[in-house]
Amino acid sequence: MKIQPLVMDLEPKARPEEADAEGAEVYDLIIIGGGPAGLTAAIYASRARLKTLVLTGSLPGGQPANTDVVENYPGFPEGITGMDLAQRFQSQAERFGAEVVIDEVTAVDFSERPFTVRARSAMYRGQSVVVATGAVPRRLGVPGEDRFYGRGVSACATCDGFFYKDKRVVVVGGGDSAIAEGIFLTRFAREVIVVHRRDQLRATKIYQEQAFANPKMRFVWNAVVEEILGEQTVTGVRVRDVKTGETSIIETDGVFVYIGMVPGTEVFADQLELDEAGYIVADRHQHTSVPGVFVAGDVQDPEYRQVVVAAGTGAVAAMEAERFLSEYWQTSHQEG
Amino acid sequence: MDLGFLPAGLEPYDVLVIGGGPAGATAALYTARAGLRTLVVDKGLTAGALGTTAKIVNYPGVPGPLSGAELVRRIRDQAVSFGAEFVTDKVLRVDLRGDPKQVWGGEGVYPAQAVVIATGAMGRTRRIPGEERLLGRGVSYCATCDGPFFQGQEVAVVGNNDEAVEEALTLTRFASRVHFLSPTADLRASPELGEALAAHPQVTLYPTARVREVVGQERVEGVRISHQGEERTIPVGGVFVYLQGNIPVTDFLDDQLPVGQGGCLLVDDSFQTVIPGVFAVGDVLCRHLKQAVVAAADGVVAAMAVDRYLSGRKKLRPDWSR
Amino acid sequence: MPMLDDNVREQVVDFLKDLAGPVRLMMFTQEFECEYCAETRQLVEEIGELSELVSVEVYDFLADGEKAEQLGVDKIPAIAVIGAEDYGVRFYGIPSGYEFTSLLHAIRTVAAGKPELSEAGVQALAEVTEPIHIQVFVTPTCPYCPQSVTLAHQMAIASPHVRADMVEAMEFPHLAVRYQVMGVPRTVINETVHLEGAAPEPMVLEKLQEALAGTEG
Repeated sequence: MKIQPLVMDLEPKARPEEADAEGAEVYDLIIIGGGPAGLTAAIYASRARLKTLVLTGSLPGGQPANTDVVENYPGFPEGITGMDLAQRFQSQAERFGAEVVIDEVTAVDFSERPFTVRARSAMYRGQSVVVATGAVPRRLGVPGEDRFYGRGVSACATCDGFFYKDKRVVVVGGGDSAIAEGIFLTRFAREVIVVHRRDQLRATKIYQEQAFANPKMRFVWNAVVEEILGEQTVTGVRVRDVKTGETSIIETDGVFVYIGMVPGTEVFADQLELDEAGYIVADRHQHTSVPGVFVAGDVQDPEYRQVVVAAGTGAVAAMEAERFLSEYWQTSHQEG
Repeated sequence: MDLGFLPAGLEPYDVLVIGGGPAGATAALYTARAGLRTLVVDKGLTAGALGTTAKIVNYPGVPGPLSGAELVRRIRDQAVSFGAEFVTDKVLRVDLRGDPKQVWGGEGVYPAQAVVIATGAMGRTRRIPGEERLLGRGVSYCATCDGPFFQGQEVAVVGNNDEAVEEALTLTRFASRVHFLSPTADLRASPELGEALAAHPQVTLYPTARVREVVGQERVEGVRISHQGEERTIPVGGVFVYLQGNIPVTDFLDDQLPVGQGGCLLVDDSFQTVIPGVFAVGDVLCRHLKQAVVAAADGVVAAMAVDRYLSGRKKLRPDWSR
Repeated sequence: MPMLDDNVREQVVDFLKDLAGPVRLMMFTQEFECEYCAETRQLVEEIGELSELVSVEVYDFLADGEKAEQLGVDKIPAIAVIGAEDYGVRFYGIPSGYEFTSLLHAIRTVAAGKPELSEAGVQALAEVTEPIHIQVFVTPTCPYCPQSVTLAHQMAIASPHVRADMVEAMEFPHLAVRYQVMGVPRTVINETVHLEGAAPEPMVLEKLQEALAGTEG
């Protein structure tokens, strides 16, 4: 049986050609960030014939590009390397006509439209913007961490816990996410050792009770990780007792670091409403506090941090941007 | 003789997902990967909106055009690789407030601690003229139920998906001829089923047939169609309808959940309905953008909420933990 | 060879383990001109072995004609499910396939003598003073049918004036023709009012009212 292609050709949008005062082209949509959220927004926007620019930042591909194998992105039963997945997102966006530029945004002006986005190598103008700069896990900053990141050192139990069946893991941190993810890891690991620099947890009571009642969990108090050890794979961590100064080695197959996330919102601080932790405040439709500026992915999501969730918000943000623009074109056409 | 189908003796699943499209299958992928015992009850690979979409090009990470059914199959394989179970069954009825919650299908009853509704929006509102009047008088939606009444007669099947094809093949055991009226040029069924149908000597295929009316006084006497530019009436004793529309599929809920305009389901930020432990994702929701990637994202968020719900319960009911 | 395999027997034992009281399965058969009488008899006898509270009585449709008449049994194979009293719960034709579940449900609720209906349903049925006969036509391969059969049987338990039959359409083709059954489940109330599909309780109650209004008029 043959299946006929059903690729619909959308009518080009009737709209005025735009240029700014210096005659430079004005994009319909500028997407800041080149991870799954930003590139999905680019796929949707360029497919809807919006003139779309993606500024990826200095590390194209976003968080997954740092990940060895992504097992839980729906549609890839054999798993896919993070790098490969990131490249697929990008080529798909480019195929529909999005411009993808590796450049880092240093300043923005969202006070009037077209919005101004200043990057290291050029300045761009756009009638709408999607912010998708992501969030990065705060690092320990100790020897061995960089070398084993993505292959023994992780910041995502939901992503990587499955690889630690019947193994022993160390969780660094004492807040809600450290303890919740530690409890989660006990489903797979035979032992979960929580290393925390204080003598009590910061996590909410319900998590604490569950953690203390869990026979697979063990706690090392008043300790900080000084080094991640191993030749080919992680074999242990060296910890220092902050009270006595003594160091010791804990044998482990993996290290999960939960000492907080850093959302990429520095350049937006005086332009968009942020929450206490620095994440961009968004409504259900990915709108920010500025009309015409939308947000997607981890930079507005301290909770889920999954590739497909980020991609989903990217699709929504692009569709909302498209709607915003068509309303604008309609009014400007009527006025003109 | 089949004496199966008993409502007792089955250990409850942790999670039961109704509907195996991108939203449901992704939810199952995540709950199974989190170590929860997960069952997906689904009508068949091409039953959902995506399953019947010929080609998709905007699912991120899959640049080449891919059939909707193929994408769904890949997500399912992935869920299965993490331990999720899938059964092909029609959900007839649910008890969402029970403990455990119960879902009745044609093949059995499935108890579960949490339920995720991902039935999509392929329900119909418009009927074929004559369809309602002649329901039970030759119009049917269930070949296994009613096939025996059409022994030696000619019947028509209207539809193009897996379900329609399977039902048509069932009818060949009873009917002398099955006229298969497909609204599209090509079937939206899996290739094996499509080939079996095309090769069957008792089946006549009518691609791009539009069904105008089911005709008959007291009972079905024929079906009037326009086909290849001509109107004609095929004399048949039975018409089996498997067409799909675009309204949320919530009829099996029997008013256990409040619905918004058009029958869509309302949920909170973590996709939970007003009944604790009952979640809904994908196209069945109100104001949902009908995109595979958005549905899949719903599935992830709901799966994590299911996990929280279940661990919260275990906390409150320690006698349950084994 | 037993009809119920070990797995099914185990589930039946489990399902019937908390019966609220004794139940008699009165089965009517005859040795000839009855396609499924032998199988139906074997089926009820095997169920009888699985619960101490379920007893099986087998009658000959002709020889025990008086008994049949007393219970209103007019065709075979027939099963009357009798608890503390006769609620009017009947099965005509073999309860196989999906209908096996209906039989087990009937045993359990007849044992309890209490219908599993909504308060409104119990109320409405308590007000019934005229005789009502519900016939639910089924096929054994119909997954939607047990819902209609069980609902009708609950209504019979709820009111002394209501009796409810499961009728297997393939075994009684003359009835299928008489009541124009071309799709199942089809519920026929007092010969005149009918209902297609597995309708929910309020809809069936509405049809009962309609049938009663017809009787009065």
